[in-house]
Amino acid sequence: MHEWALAESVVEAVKEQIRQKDNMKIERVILLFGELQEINREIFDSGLDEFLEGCSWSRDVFVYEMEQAAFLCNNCSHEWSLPPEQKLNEDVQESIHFIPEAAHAYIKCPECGSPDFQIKKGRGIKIKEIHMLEKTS
Amino acid sequence: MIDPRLSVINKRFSGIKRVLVFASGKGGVGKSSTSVVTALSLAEKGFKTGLLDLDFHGASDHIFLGADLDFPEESYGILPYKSSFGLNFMSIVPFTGEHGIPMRGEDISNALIELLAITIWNELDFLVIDMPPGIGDEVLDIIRFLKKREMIILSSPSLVSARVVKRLIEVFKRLEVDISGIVENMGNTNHSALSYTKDELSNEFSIPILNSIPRYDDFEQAIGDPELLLKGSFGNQINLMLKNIGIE
Repeated sequence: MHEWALAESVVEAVKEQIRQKDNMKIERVILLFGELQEINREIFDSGLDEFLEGCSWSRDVFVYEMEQAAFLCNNCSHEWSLPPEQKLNEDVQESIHFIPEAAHAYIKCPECGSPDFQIKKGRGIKIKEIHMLEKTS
Repeated sequence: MIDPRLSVINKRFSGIKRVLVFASGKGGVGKSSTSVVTALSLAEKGFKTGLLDLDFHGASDHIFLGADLDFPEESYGILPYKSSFGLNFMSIVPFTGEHGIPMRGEDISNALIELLAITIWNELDFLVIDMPPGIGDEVLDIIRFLKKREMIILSSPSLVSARVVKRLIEVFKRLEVDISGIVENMGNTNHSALSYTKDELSNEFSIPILNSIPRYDDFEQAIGDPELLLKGSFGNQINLMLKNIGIE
């Protein structure tokens, strides 16, 4: 259910953008879901519904895109993503689900074995674009 | 690209009356012990209190508290753990275990922002934040995100500590960060003439010394036992420090 905290953050962020624009309405919001965090879409959607109550726009404006995880090793400069066959145990996946940077405790560079890497892409949730339309009278 | 998490941080802290941030120039000056015992003391006095360990590389507050941390309970976000005296506690350790986490730059900030955005503190009288030593990402992010905070600096009565803390204070001054006071820890009254805290720090920057806490050899035995931590001599000194910032 911690997805609700993230859903709330998305709604607040969109509200911030539209706050000073009384003549505009939200047409579309493109959200990027980072592969690493494995956000549960169903729980996230229920969170959106909760925090959108009272808003003039609904969950229908949201479009979801997935961003693949990408890592860069600071030691050997190897770049890699999460291969589909990579299985992290359930507890590790859960840890990374809460705080994606917990990956530093469990993941190593597949090339040199170093835990010194950066998470370049696909960590968590971001708002890629917000499209607004002028309100018709 | 917008990071939506930044939009809820103020909301998460809106129910917290006072945020006490413990910082230091160097490690090993007793910042974590001071943070933990301060939080325990406040909780024991009946204040609704939280403790947040943001020293990701040296997380140790859970060790002082004797806390065995599993995944947190979830409700609209993650809920802090209930420790002794009803203290609400959060740390990165439930998610990393006792593994070291070699994080740099953006990853440190992202982990910090995530914790600030998803931890549900609700209403608190005090939140105590234990920072890592130095002037790195975590300290700069807390200054950036939490405008309503009271910075307390830890030092030890050594020239080395005083000189490094001086740099920290200078940066805080440049960033227009108000400093509530300095706590000198591990003071050795036999060598009080060697304490540089008063001359190099307090007098030069007009910052009050909240307390000068002696070194207590029996402190180590109290680690892991919140009752012992609170009832010992160190706990008494922390109460004196709190009195000097108007808390009884």
